[in-house]
Amino acid sequence: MKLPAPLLSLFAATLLLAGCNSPVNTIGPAAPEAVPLTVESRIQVFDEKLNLRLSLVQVAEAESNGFRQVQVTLANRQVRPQEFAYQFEWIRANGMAIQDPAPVWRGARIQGGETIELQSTAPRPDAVDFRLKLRETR
Amino acid sequence: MNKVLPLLSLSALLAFLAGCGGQARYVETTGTETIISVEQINIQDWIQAADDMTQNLLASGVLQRTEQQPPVLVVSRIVNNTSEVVDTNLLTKRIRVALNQSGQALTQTTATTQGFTEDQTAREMGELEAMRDPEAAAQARPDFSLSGRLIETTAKAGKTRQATYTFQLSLTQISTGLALWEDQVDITKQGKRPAVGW
Repeated sequence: MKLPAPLLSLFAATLLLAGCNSPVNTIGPAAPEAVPLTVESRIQVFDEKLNLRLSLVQVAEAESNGFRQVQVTLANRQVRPQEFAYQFEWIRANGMAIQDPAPVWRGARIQGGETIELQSTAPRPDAVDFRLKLRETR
Repeated sequence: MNKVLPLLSLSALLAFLAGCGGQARYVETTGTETIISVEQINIQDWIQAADDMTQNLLASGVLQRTEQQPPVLVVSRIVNNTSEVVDTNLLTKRIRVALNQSGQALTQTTATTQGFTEDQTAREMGELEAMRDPEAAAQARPDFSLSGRLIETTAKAGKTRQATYTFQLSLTQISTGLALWEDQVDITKQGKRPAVGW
């Protein structure tokens, strides 16, 4: 039996897309030894869809040589991969945001079922708080 | 006709709102509306690499281990092994600015690297000063030298192109010649043609 060319192309494209978008299975210790210092967080949601697909697992903080570090763990709860952009902002004790001449938006891609950690180190020792902004990309 | 006109107006409005007008406008320098090109290092790539390396350097604590605080560094040679002509200041200046604003390091602009002095006037005046007061000149001796390399790795499959831009930096302690801090950032892009937004 000979299949028509368009059908073959469609089949090949489906296989290709399925290969690119395979969800991720993750294995780790049942009782992890790492004990992160977690931070309670407050989320302001405007994009409900993104919030449903990309859920917050944990916010942890640490200090390295006088600079605060933050790690936000996110999980993709769907099978499809999710692309998004994120940006960290740092704030001084007096509430003033630390100005960056070109605040960095970073692109990220998280596969279905995958968990990722987004990290940032404060640009100055006097930064005490942070804000993480997330937005969906195409 | 009466039904078509509102539809056309709506389409035009949607196109305008979607930013399809093609008219010049300001965009965030590293925002999601910037242009991505596979065959060149875009401004957002420079900024992201510099930002990653600065955060890594600050968190390493290397800059806090010198007797002289804040330490003084000089920018040495950044070798460009990519196919395009680039100004490596796009990488090093952003790192310098961040270190300066954090109070963790100062950069000497009077050092000469490969025959180029960033601030020749300051150098000449400093030399005059050193003749009068040699001790003052000794205090400004740099602790670290920042050197690096830019590398481009390309691949092609059919019409799809891929390029990885590798940014490498080393911070060498001048007194020992040891690289006390090193970092590498890879940025990979893939596509058939440049894109507006990501």
